[in-house]
Amino acid sequence: MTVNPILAFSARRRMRSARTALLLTAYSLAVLIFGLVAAFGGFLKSRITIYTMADGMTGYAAMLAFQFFLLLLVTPAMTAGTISGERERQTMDLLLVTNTGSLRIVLGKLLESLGLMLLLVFATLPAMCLVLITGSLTLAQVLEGLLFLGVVAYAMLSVGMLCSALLRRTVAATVVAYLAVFAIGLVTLLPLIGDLRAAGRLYDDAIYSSYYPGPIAAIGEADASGGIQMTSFILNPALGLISLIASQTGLMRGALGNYSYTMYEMYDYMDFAGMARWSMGFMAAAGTALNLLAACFVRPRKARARKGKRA
Amino acid sequence: MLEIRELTRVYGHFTALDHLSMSIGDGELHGFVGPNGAGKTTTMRILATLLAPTSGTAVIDGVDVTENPRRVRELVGYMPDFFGVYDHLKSWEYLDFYARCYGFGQSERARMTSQLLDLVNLSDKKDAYVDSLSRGMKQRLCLAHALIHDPKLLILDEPASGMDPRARAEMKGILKSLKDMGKTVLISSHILPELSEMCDSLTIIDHGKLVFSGAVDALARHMQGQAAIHLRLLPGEDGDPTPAAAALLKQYPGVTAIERGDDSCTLLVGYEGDEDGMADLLQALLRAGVRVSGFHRPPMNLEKVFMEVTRSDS
Repeated sequence: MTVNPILAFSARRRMRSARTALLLTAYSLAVLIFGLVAAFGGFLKSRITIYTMADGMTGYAAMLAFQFFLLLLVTPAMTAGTISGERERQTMDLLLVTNTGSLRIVLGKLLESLGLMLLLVFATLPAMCLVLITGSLTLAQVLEGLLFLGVVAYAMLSVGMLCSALLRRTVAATVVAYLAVFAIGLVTLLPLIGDLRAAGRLYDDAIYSSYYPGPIAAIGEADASGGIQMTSFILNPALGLISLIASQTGLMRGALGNYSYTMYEMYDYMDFAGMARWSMGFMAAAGTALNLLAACFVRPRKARARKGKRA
Repeated sequence: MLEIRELTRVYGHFTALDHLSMSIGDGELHGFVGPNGAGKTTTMRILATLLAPTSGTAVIDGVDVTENPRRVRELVGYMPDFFGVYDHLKSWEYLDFYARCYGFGQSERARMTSQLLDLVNLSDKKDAYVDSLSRGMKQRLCLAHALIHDPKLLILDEPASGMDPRARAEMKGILKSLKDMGKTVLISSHILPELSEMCDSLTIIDHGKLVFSGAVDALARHMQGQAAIHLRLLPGEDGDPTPAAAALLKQYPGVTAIERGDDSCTLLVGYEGDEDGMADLLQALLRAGVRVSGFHRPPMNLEKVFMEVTRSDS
């Protein structure tokens, strides 16, 4: 199997740049410092001399969430300039006449950016593994956390890739990519908000109802009859992250309880591990769809439309 | 090798190419001439499958560019008029990258990269970063890129634009080598005298329409017939010799126009006849007592031809 030429070529150029080494160092250090502050901040305040399992999990969750935030900041811009940049540099024509397929171009550009993002994410593995000292999580769970971040990066890179293929200017593609990520984040929250309202109403009704033995059973009934659906959680990457942290550490009950008492009560009944995995699957599928769509816009559209027709 | 029939490309309300037809034979070096905005780049981009025609056909070595663009790309090497280069990349890596895109294996790539750098006289710049090369060197490197897959037809859009005279001479040498290698070359340029020396045939277009297409010699002969005869006269006994000569010439068959030249003793005579006719015309003048000290039709070079054929519309 031959390596995608665009991937090999772009990776070589990327790794030659001093910026890449600086980015790698800065990213790893930022994650480590953030995680240590989150883990030891509580320890210093409480004056307890034992580094607890909860501190380890807090540090781990903080690093995971911080990386998620950094990825949202960095990734759309990484691919937003790939196709549009080729057009701006006037190198696109030279590439297109080589018979390189549109999908191959998109894949090459995407995998190169994804490779760097995975390098950044997995470079934080030693820092993330600090949680192993307290024994609260396994290495497999830490790797699952990093895999989740990798999938988030893939999805965000795909949004940037589509914008880059659609728009001629890199600046415009970058702005639209960030707006799209923001819009996706907002829109995919709506089903959960709707579900919580509905479930909350059912929960209130259940308290005063003699039908149900207690409110928890009412919520179980509500979930089965149109309460909080799993799909509401898996569509939004941030909710996917919350699901992952909840399933691995159990730390999210308080945070979710602050937002919604319904969620607090339902915490034990929700399959967070399953939702995290479904969230990853959804992001991977959506990212792939966006990349396939991007490939349709790499070649001049009019030329494609005429293909097969004779004037 | 190339057959274009009624090729048209319309951008909104603007017709960039208007039913252009032309053909190029195997192994020809064909000049493609026209003022800015004439439609040269549009034609070349259609041939390189980067743009679809609105109507008409272009067939390269028997393959229609709109029907089978993938096959056409294997037949064509394209060098655009404007192109960029990548930073953080050496010259040999630049060619190696495009060779990879064409699917060549490692050993083949190493061999052809070395050969192509030799061909375009850039062997000594093999390890130089592409973005550090001069404009002329970048253009030669881009030409090497167009040759990677050993195409039958080379489409070169203004390959010598912006080059200094030395770089232009080098480019000219490379093009001659390509012609010797049997490549068919379609080259557009504004450096017309150079084209006239190099090309076997040429096409002139203006405002998207064909003005002339054929052999360089045929164009020169065609245009030569339309060039004015420069007639220099000596003053006679009556002083100014031109009125008498002009009166005689007005009656002479084939004379289309008579204008005064730069001085009072020179006439520019439009004459449709061939060289035999010119000899008869001269004899008639001498028999009438006109004292002729100069009688010639100046040769047309491509620059003049170009100015002449595009003059009416500009």
